[in-house]
Amino acid sequence: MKASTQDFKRKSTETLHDLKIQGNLSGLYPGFHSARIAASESTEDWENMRDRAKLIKEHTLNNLDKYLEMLESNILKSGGKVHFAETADDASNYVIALAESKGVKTVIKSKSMLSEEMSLNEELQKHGIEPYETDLGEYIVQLAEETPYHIIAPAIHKSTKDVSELFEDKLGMSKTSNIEQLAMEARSQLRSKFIQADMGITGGNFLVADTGTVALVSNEGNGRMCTSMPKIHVAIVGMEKVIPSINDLGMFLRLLIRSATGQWISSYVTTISGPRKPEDIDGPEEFHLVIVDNGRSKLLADPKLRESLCCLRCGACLNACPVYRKVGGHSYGWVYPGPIGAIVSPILTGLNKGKDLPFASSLCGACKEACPVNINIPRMLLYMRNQVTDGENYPSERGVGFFERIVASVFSTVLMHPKIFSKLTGTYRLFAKFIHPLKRPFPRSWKKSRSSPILAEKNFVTQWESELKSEIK
Amino acid sequence: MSRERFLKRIRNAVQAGLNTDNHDELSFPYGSCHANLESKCKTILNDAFEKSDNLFDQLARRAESSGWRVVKLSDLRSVGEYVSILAAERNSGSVVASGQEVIQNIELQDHVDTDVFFIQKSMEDAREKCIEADIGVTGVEYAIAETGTCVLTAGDRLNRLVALTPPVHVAVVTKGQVLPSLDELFVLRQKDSKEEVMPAYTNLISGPSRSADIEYKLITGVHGPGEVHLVLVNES
Repeated sequence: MKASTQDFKRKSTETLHDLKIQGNLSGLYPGFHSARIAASESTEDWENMRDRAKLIKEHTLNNLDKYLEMLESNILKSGGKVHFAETADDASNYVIALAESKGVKTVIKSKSMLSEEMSLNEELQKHGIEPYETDLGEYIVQLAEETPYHIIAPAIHKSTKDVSELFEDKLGMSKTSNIEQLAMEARSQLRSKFIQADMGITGGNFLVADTGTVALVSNEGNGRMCTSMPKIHVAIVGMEKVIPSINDLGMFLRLLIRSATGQWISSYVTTISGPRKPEDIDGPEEFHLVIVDNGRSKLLADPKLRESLCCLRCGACLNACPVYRKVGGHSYGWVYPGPIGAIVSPILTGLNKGKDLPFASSLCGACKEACPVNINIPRMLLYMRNQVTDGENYPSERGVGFFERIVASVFSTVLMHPKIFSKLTGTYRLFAKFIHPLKRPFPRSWKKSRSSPILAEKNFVTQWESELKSEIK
Repeated sequence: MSRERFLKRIRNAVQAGLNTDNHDELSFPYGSCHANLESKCKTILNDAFEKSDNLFDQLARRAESSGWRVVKLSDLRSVGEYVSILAAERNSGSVVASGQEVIQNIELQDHVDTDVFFIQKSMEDAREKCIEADIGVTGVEYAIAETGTCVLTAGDRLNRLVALTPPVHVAVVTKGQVLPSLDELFVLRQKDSKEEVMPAYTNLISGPSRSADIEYKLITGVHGPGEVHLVLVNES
C-alpha cells in the first residue's frame, strides 16, 4: 500500500467535519473499549499476564534470529515450506510465482493487515489471479475499493445504509436495513468462491517456534474455510509474531482476544502445523509460511523503538485513543492507524513523510493503559517527535527544514538569556503601543482553537518587583 | 540466498537494538519444558476423569454464555434421538457425521429419518456431501471449561468440513474430555510435538460463527455454522 502519511492534517480535518463518519466512530468507545475493560477485569491475574507477556516478547525479540530458525526447522519437519521475505515485494513475488506455477486462478483471503502492506490484491490481479476477501468487513472494503479503517473492524466507518447501497450497486441486491440479510448475501456470494478457489491466503496471529505452529484467530469461519478448502494454504506473517513456546499460547490468546473485541474467546482459534497428514481425510496438500520483514528490522535495530514490535495487533489502543476516535483510520495514511500506527507507519514508510503522526497525540497514556503487553507508546511517541525535529538516529529523515531549525535555535538562545529576552520584548512592547494589532501577538492558526490573550503592558519580572511582591507579603 | 541475507540482517538488528538498560531475565530457548512432561500430561488426563462432574458444569455454564445450545444427556443412544428431533424440526436435508468412535456408537442412522453420511477417507464425494448437508455431527478431542470450547482435530476420522460447512453443528462431549483451561490443552500439545505426532490442524470452536463488522451489531452464521449444539454425555 502506498503511504499517504503526509496528508494527515488535511485528512483528519476532513474527517472531523464529516458528521456521518463521526457518528459511526462514536460506537468504538461504548463498543469495543468497554467490552475490553469488562473482559480484562474479569480475567484473573490480568496485570501479571501483561507483564509476563511483555517479558517474553522482549526476550523473543532479543533472540529473534534464533527463534525464527527454530520455527523454520519445525515447519520444515512437518512438511511445510518457509520463505523469508525482506520486503513486501519479495513476499508478493513469492506468492505470485507459487500461484502461477500451480495454475491458480482464484484466491480466497482471510483478513491480513500485512497483505495490505504488500498491496497483494493489486499484485495478484496484475497477474490475472482473482483475490476475494472473505472477512465480512474486508469484503465490504474490497467491494468499495477502499482500505481497512480499523485493524479489527475494517468497515467500521460504514453504516448499514452504506453497505446496503454498496451491495445494491455491486451485487444487484435490493435495498435492506437488515444486517443479517446483508451478511447472508455475502455468505452466498463467497460460498462459491470458497469452493472454486485453488489457494487460500491468511495471516497469522502467533507463530509458535517450538512446535512450528501458526495460530489464527477468527470469528466468522472464513479463516477455517481458507485453511480447509483450497489445495494450497499460504500464511503471510510479520516476523515479530513469533512466540517461543506453545506453553504460553493460552496466555497470549487470552490477552489478544479479550483486548481486541472483549470476547472471552473468539468463535474460532485455528492452529496449523504444516500441510495435511497422509492419513487426513481433507485439507491443503501444501502449506507455505512467508515470514516478512518489510522494514520491521529498522524497529528491531533501534533500542528505543524495539518495544513496538511487542504489539499483538489487537487494536485496543485505537479504541482507547481520543485522537483516533475523532480522526479515524484513513487519516493516518497507511495500514496501521492509531497510537501504535503513529510509531510503526512512519518508520516503515519514511519518518519525514509521516512526521505529523507522532504529534497526533495528547500523550494522555490511554493507549499504554489499554495495551495487553503494556507497551509504552507515549514514551516512543516523544522519542519520535525528538527524532523528527533534531534527532540523531534518523538524520536523513529529519522532518524539519534548515530555516526552521535556525529559528528554533535562535529562539532557544533568547529564552536562555533573560537580559536579551527582556530587551527584545521591551522593544516589541514599545511598537505595540502604537501599532495596536501587535497587542495580540499570536498568529491566526494559533487562535483557531485557542484564546488569544492581550499583551500585558509590563512584563512579569517588572510587575513582580513593583506590585506583586508586596501584595503577596 | 535470500534466507541467509534475511537472517543475517535480523542478527545485526538484534545486536544493534539490544537495550542495555534492561536485563533479559529469560534465557534461550525459553518455554519448552520437557522435564516431567510425561507425568504432567498423565495428571491432566487423570484429573479430567476424576473431576469430570465439576468440569462438565463449568463447561456448560461458559458454553451457554458463548452461544452454544447446551444439552445434557444420560447416554449416547439419546444423542441419536436428539439429532433426529433437530433434523425433523428443521425439515432438514442430509446429515453428515464424523467417523469417530463415539459418533459410530450413537447409531445415528437408526434414529434419523433423512440420509446420514459418515465421512470417511475412502469416500470420493466427502467434500460435496459436507457442502450439501444441513447438519454436521462430530465428537471432540477435548473440551475446555474456561472458555466453553470444543477442540476438533482433523485426522483420519474427522475431516475439516464436517463441522464447518453445514449450518448446524452438533458436538458430542463425553466423560474425561473436559480440560480446565487452554493451558492444559497446550501442555498436551507439547507432548504431541515432542513425540512427533503433532496434528496438522486443530480448531478451537467456541460458539456459533459470528460477526460484528457492520455497526458492531452481532450476527451469527456468517461462514461457519450459525447454530451450534453442545451435547454433554457424562459417560465414557
